[in-house]
Amino acid sequence: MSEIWKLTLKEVKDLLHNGEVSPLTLVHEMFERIESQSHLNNFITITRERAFKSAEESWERIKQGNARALEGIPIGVKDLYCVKNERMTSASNVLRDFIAPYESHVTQKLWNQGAICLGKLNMDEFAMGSSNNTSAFGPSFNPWNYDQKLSPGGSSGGSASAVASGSCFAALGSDTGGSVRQPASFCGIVGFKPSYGRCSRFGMTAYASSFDQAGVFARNVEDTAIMMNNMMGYDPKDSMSCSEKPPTLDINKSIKGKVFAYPKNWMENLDKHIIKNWENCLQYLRDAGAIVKPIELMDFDFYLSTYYLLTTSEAASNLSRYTGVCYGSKKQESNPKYNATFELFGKEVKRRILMGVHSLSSKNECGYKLGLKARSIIKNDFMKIFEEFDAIVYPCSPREAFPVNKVFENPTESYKEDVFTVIPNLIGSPAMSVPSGYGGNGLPIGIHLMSKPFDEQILISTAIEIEKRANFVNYIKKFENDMNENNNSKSENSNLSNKTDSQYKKDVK
Amino acid sequence: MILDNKENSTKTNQGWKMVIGLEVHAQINTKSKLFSRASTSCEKPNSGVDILELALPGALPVLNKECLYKGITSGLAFGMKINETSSFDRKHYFYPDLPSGYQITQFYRPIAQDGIVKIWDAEGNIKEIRLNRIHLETDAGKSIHKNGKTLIDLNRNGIPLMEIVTEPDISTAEEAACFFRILQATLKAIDTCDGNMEKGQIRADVNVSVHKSGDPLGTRVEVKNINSVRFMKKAINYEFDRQIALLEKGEKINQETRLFDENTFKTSHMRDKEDSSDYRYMPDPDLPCFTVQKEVINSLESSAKLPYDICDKISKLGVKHSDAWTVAENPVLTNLFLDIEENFSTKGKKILFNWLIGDVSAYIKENQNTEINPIYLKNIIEKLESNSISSKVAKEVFIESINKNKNPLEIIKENNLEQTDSIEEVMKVINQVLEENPKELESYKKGKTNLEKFFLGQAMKITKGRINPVLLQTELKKELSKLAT
Repeated sequence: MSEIWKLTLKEVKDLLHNGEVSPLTLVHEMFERIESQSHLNNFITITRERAFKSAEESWERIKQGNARALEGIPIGVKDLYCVKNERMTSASNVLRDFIAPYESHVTQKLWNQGAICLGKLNMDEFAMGSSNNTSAFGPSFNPWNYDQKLSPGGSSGGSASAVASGSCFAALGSDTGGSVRQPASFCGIVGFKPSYGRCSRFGMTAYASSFDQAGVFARNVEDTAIMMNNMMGYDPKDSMSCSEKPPTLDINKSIKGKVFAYPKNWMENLDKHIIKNWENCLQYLRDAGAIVKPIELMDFDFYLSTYYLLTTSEAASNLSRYTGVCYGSKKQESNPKYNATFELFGKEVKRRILMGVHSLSSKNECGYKLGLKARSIIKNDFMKIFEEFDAIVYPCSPREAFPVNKVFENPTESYKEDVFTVIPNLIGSPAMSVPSGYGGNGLPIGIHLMSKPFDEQILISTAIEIEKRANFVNYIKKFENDMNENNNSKSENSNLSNKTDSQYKKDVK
Repeated sequence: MILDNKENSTKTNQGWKMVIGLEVHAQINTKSKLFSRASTSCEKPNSGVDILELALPGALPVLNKECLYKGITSGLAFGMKINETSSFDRKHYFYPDLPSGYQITQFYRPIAQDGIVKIWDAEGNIKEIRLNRIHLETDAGKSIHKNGKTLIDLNRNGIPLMEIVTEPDISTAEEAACFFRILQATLKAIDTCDGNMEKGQIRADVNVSVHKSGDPLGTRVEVKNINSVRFMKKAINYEFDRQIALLEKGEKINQETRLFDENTFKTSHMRDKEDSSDYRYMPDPDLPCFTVQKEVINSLESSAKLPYDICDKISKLGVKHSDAWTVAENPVLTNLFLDIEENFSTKGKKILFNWLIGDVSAYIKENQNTEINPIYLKNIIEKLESNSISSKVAKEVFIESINKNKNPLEIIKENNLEQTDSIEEVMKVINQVLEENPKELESYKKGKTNLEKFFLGQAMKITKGRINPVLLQTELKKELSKLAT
């Protein structure tokens, strides 16, 4: 079978289970695909040996009829999960040579179910960024238009791009303020972040501990549900993990009679394509028998400031371990000071550490403590909303993908990339992005769904209804069609105009 | 015993008063660390280290609940208010032996607050020292500076500590020492801390300020690196003298942290308070709040007898607190006392007490791992109380009964060791001695009267202390004086 990489995870899972394709052949093909897409710079490390070894084991199991839930399915892992004996860089020069001596809980769960690790995926350094531009290994690119060097979003940009471009059937990401959902929106795939505490953080490099949560990318909602069902679960090694048994996500549950909210006051000043897409989605929900009502939310800035106040503080604390004593190059004898590692951090990481130290200073009255207060107000507000509503629906990002080298006027401008996605992390809710249409440049746009904490099922049920109705064709299908029609790849995307940076800025306004 | 120290500074009489507060760090005696499964008892450097101690990316803390329980037990022993819900915070500072860059401690919500430790002063007056709080925290690693290089051992990193903070209620070095010893013995008795200072299982930082009666409190100076109670007293008294000397010269006290030097018994500047880093406290986002149910807290109340209470009980026999403490602070002596004391009248209890601080203490010191059967001790004390054996016999029987694990009553019976007051027997012995030592008798008769002691000694040898020595001496005297005339 050729071009097996185009299949969905569910499809390839069935083929594997039925013995119609061998995991070894599959892994071989996946590495060829990865090779052909190397210009996207999605992989920081390829774990070839491990992948073939796992494939052999999977083949044995399949032959013996002992196939596990994800037997033989090749996936990618964001490079902030520890995979034992593999390099784990968190896309930082500080950890460039770090070999993980232990396995993260989430990856262990996936390997236990037979998933195969193809490699470690590119990301923003320490997951700080929204464009994948802060990686010490150079940015990853969005397959939708390589010529324009489009950003796949961030921080899990490599994961999103790899899944969208067919280099793996699903990929692990992590989501602190939208790092799974925004890249999913930019790359036209599904991105899912469960409730805080659903997946163990054990073995994941910490950015902001009370926000960080494992997430997943897949090409459709069903694949997403399959992955999540094998990732969620209590882990005594993460004291914040939820001891309650996680739900088994079901793609066949109706949303008839469910009540959805949309923040009407956020519609002002948004790009017209984004609004149109949003309105379409609300209509899909009505068509599926749900009730849709407007609500008023506070101005984005309130959420965004709270988010940055708290996350930079936690980051400054979490990253204080990366001193020259244990990390960084031991060869650098020129600067024997033990905090010399600070030089190795990228600009954005340094900026956030300094902001965080400032927020945590005991003399700072408007610092971390104020952020904690604001956070509890936000939580209470949303818990009240969830007494009446099953989920809240709004756009995932204010725009389509932009060029990766897009220069923001100042750093806080770039933080506004996260305006829509930070709320679920502030309140611990599950959230996801579902591809639902295209923007003015013909690039994908995702719709953002969030529910009350620990109600992951309603998101999957809602996403399925949107997926059914939205007239969205993903990158691979578009690419595949192109191949079949005139063998001229990517020409379908020709409506992508060659806009300059300043034009992008205009669009933002 | 604690207060029989003559080092007390003389300046107390010149109107200067000292205000002292202690911060005691006591290692909780659990097998594994406060937040990881690494062992607390590894000797080889960096062998008791888990991914958390190394602060590897993705490592997370998991509370060792036993530490929480032992913290509560300790709080209860000092009558403290236990906070049903407590939480952990990060205290940030950079140091090579602290790989994570922060210590996990309880800044905002400690496990226990507001308690009392009763101590006594030199005159035997009881004084209450208030405890401000007990909180749990992790220890840092150890930096060893050698030949211009620094070696780091992380075995101590993550070791569970209780920080016990007093109010500034202590007025002298002796009170500080008394407080510390009571605290140490109490934690040992309830089995929450092994309390060995030399092994670093318990240590104290001392805050000292001086002022004149009626004046506002002086500037306080913190002294660190105090590794024994003796050094604690030295350090406090050195600070007392140093601060007074400065003030009398019209100089100011600098708010600083000073280090105690074990060789010179002096303290020296370590850092100014202004230099100390902003610890940037924040609630640890990796750890939830911990709530302990009331029933669990109640069940943690230790049934162990607290050293202070035992001391108080013994003192009621008319013994000084500082003497009673010898028994109270020693669990072996305490248990022996408590096991058998109720069999005796006040007189017998006093004999028991004197035996415990005398012969029994001495025996234990020399034979550390031998157990003493309380029934044997009871039998001996009974015989002593009724004057049936001499204290010399008692001592020998005591040792023999332990060595042979034999009931002392049997030993006494078999060897016919009961003390006798029979004149016939006494005379028999005296005659035997005089007959066996004719030369000495001749000399005595010639006026060498100090030979009386020799005859007495010989007689004692024969009787093995079985005869009442007073009676023996009286009769011997009588007999000799007859011969001399």
